[in-house]
Amino acid sequence: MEKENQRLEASRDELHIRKTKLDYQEVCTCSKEAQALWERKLTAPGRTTNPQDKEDIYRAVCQGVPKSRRGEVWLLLSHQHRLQHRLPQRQQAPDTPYYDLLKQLTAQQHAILVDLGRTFPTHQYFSAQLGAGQLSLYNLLKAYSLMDTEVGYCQGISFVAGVLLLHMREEQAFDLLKFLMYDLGIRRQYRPDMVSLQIQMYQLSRLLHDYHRELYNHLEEYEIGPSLYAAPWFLTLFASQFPLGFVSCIFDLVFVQGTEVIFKVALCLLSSHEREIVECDSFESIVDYLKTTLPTLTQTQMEQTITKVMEMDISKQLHAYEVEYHVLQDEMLDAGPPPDDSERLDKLEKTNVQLKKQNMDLLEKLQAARQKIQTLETSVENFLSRESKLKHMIRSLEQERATYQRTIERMRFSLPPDALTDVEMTQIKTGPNGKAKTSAKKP
Amino acid sequence: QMGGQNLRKEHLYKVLVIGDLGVGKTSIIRRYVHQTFSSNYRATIGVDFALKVLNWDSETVRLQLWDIAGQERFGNMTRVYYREAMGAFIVFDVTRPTTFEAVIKWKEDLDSKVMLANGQRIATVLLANKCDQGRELSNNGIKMDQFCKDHGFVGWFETSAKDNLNISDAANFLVKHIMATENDILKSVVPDTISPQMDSSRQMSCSGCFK
Repeated sequence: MEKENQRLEASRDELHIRKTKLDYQEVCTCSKEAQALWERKLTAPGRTTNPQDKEDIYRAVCQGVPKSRRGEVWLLLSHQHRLQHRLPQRQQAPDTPYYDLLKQLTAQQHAILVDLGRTFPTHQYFSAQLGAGQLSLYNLLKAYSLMDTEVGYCQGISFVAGVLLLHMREEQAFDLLKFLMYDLGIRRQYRPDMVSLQIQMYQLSRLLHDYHRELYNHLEEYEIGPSLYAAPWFLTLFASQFPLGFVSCIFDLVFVQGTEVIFKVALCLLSSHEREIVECDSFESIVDYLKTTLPTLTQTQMEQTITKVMEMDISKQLHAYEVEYHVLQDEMLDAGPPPDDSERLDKLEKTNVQLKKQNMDLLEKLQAARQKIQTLETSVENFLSRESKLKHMIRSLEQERATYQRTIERMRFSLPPDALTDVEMTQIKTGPNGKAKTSAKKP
Repeated sequence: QMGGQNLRKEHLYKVLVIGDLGVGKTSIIRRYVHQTFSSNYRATIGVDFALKVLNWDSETVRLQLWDIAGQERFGNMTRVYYREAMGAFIVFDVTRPTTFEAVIKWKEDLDSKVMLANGQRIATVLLANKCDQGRELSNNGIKMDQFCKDHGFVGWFETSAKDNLNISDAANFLVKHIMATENDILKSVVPDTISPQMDSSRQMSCSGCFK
């Protein structure tokens, strides 16, 4: 009896914690059918060993993920991804067991401790100093810093880890953190040189330049590059500033599509607020808008953003811009170390002007090339349709010919034998023509 | 026409706030700009901004404060953040000696990445924050003065964002130095004038901390 009571109490406590953790408003509430669909997927035998159709999974995610099953869904998505994309051995996360890591001491202790109170400081689960939430977060960050010695701890990771912890147990969260960092590759942006983050900032800036020129020019006029406002978007997957329901939807998509999703969300957010941003006419008002006003999205705005993100595809552009970044970087290094400071400044300024010009030139070339590709693609389509028309014609001609031949056969059959020799004589005369026809028939 | 208000001269100064992780940069800015304090602000990822408008004699000073993430690796992003700054606060936490040791590194990084139009270092004030939590530095005042002199700080203040101690004094002090250097630059641009060489960064200041 007492045991029973204890068990009941424990499960009530657990439920209470779960409720605290999941205390956020869902953005894309999913239908009954979608819930049933996930129910089937989450209980299907072999769900962690048999790969499922990728398109099918993506469609399911697009229909929405129920909050109460979100943690399990993310785990399923990670299993499915791993079944289809096995990382090469040297890129895989070390497989030291979680509890072994917890026994060790980390050199990042201080940074982690300082950030505990600064990660979701207003969320009930994390706000209590050294409460259950902060302790789990501490364990998770400490274990990660010990396992990934190159990255260690970087500000931003605590928010990603925090979102995971709200949806699952600590060890599961550790496994998914490893998944995000290694399998999906987000650990690159946290590396001490931050090169990868800078590349991402460049890519976002180029996307704006290509797709939202007016906004790009406006931000450029006040010298506001993505590194002034988008660093937390990338480093926390939007979790440090945006409502949790929205962030969770972004995580759903990241688990199937990877980091590209961050760019898409960033681009959608900026473009849907283009008018308001362009109306701001000072440095302060723009950065204040981007950092304070923009993240307070309405429910409808969040839903629209997520829907738009699902329809986008920018993988080609992202790749092209990354290559471009490296080319520009190499050219700058080739210039060699300049001798003195004022000269260095002059030189840098000149390089900057040159690079900007070069950038624009490259962009124009890129656009010209794109246009050309499009024309070529159209003409390929034309050729293809002409080809199929011709094929069709050949077929009907062949049929016609066969009918004629059959008629001739029939006619020949009904002719008297002496008339037949006459016909053969005429056939010899027209011989070359007949031959030409037979050879044309071959292909 | 004589209604001076519209003719008020306006200055816009970009001021950096840097220093190790968790020394209280954001708290100092919040206290200074919004007159509030909380013990758990969200961690600063990248850079945050705040604007403080001051009436300065008959002029207006707009301080654009750049609150920069303290983790060392963000230093790789700071070249963009430091550009065209006119002044800086370097903050350390009096309860953690390592954050004071890092001050020199922050100063060197700053001087290597930004300078004024005349090639001089930007005015930088050292802030010994969280002085409400003990460790009086005032006894070490002379040592601190020497430290500032050695490392090119225009002055230092003991501050507490929690108790609102010395923050606006430190800001006013920095503004005064920025204005002085700005005048120097303006003078040096005008040809045929000889300006007396008075290096303001060497003029040791009483930091106003000696109570």
